[in-house]
Amino acid sequence: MCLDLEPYYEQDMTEIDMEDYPPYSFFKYTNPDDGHRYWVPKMNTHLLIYWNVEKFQEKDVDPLPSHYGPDNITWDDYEEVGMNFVKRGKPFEWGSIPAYGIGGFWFLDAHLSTYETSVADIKDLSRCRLGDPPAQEHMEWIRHQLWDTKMYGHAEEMGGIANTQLFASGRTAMLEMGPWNFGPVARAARFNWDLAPLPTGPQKYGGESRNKADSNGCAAWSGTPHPDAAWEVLKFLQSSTWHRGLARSSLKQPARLSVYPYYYQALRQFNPVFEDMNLEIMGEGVSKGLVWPETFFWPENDASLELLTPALQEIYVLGKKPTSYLIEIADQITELNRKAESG
Amino acid sequence: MNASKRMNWVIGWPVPKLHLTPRVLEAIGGYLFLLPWIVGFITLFGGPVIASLGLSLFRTDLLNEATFVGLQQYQILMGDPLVGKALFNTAYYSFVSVPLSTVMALSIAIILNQGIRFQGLWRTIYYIPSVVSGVAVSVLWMWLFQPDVGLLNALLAMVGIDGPRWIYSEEWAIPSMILMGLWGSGGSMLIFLAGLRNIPTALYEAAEIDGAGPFLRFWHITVPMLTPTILFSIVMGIIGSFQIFTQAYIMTSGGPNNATLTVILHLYNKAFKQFRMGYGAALAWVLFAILLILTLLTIRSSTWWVFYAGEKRL
Repeated sequence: MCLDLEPYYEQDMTEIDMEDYPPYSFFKYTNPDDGHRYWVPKMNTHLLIYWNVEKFQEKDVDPLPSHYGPDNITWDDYEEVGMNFVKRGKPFEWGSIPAYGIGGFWFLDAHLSTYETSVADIKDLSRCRLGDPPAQEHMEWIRHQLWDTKMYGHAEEMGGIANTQLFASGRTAMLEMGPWNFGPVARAARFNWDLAPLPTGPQKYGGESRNKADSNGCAAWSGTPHPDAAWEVLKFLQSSTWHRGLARSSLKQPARLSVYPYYYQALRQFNPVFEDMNLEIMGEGVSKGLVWPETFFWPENDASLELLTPALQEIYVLGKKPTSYLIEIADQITELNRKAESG
Repeated sequence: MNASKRMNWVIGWPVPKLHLTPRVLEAIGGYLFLLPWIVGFITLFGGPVIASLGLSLFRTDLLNEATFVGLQQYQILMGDPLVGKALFNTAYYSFVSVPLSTVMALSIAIILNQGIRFQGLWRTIYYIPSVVSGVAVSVLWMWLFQPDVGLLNALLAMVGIDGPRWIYSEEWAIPSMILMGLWGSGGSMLIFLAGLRNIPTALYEAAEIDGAGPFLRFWHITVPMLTPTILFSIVMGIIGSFQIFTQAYIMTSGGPNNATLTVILHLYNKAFKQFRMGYGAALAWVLFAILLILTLLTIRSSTWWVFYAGEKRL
């Protein structure tokens, strides 16, 4: 469906500073067979933890770490921190809320990166890894937070209210969210908040701070009668001018590394809440090589999601099935994709 | 000169004189008035309907080249477990909500027809929900259904009932939507009210003289005289309820565990999220066939229970 841009990249390689893009920027729209690229990167956003500084001070809880690295908290520490804020009265208050509920595969993929795994296998995208022991371990941790500790806000308790609104109104002390919601939260929240990296996975899985990049990009339709003109537009969409404009107007994390300082400045000019905020953490994950490409899609993605989404709901929304149910579902997804691959 | 006499002159142009009968002229006038609708119907409705039948025979995303696959989309559809689930959910919703909302609308109409004070105000109050946007209604009901702080469970708690989890429960998700649908019974209520007003008062007076009480008058006069309106309400209700989409899309996205996946939501997912336009078109035609059968069965059954005052039965 998308125009093969590889000949154009080859032709204009000197004009475009390819080093300015983190390596994962092209992953999602690169043909694994021949390495041809099909889009120009627009944004690369990472999952962060927004945390309410004033709530932490009120409860005398230590601030969350501001850097990726050995001083970062683990998932168990995260639970412990979150439990300080859980209130089972009406209305409920929670320690944290995962981004986009349990069906948000990108959030799962970012979590699983800290367990050295992913939703789909990066080396063999037809394989679903949710049945693997590391994934099982973390998926059970999520179930435990939703159903046992109630540290995480459950969809039922949130009652359709957006997680950003719940954070901005103080109903949750932490929120797992990307930079694309900086603007709405900054406008709505009447307190100081800051940013922290995702917790570190267990030692047996490397014990490293990691993250995933949610990459967006622009492509041209393969059927266009004017491919050269389309490339000219796409080339402009890679210019520093356009990326700066996008960073300022959308307040979203740019794809080009050289635009990051400008992006931080734009945020600080936009709202005073960003002045003392640890914005540089977004660039830190990239520069330390801790950000991996997202892998939560399969060749037969729609059919796979038709199996996976209800399964996740049975475990996390309804509490009817154990996490181990995903072993069976992961096998079905892998089989489905393998069958499609073999024609 | 003679040629000029045989012509009519319209804005300076000669138009031949036609000797048309008044009946033909009337028919031409009628068709001219109908023309805007006919053109609109053919271009905006009839054309796309026929095109969708053709589309269902192809595998296409409408962007790339389409492949003719004959009836394959219908074959795939038969083997899709989600189609069965969606049909079951939709039928469950329709077969419970249509009778309930008919009874509800009729009951409100009868109460409002008793000559109560501020009748216009009450009528407006009951009618308002049916003109509110489906999205707004869905968002409002999400709050009402909220299991822990929602109004419904708070009211149930006041009488000592531990309310269900409503749209977050597989068992209660469709009943929740049925309950929500009852809130919009105002549209049918208005039609029933008009039907009630059309019943000649002489019939009631005669029955009263013959000694019929309120229940007998209702059962032997009101109900039979309203059966054409009830038939209309049921047919429209079945068609409308089989097309349920907004509530399922906004409130639950078809979950939990596909408990609210309806036919139109499944069609939307396939056609507009997965770009399987041929499959979506095939599903639309299956839905059309089901609706056609149900409508024909309902109309066919009407010979046994619908009473037309002006009908001559041989």
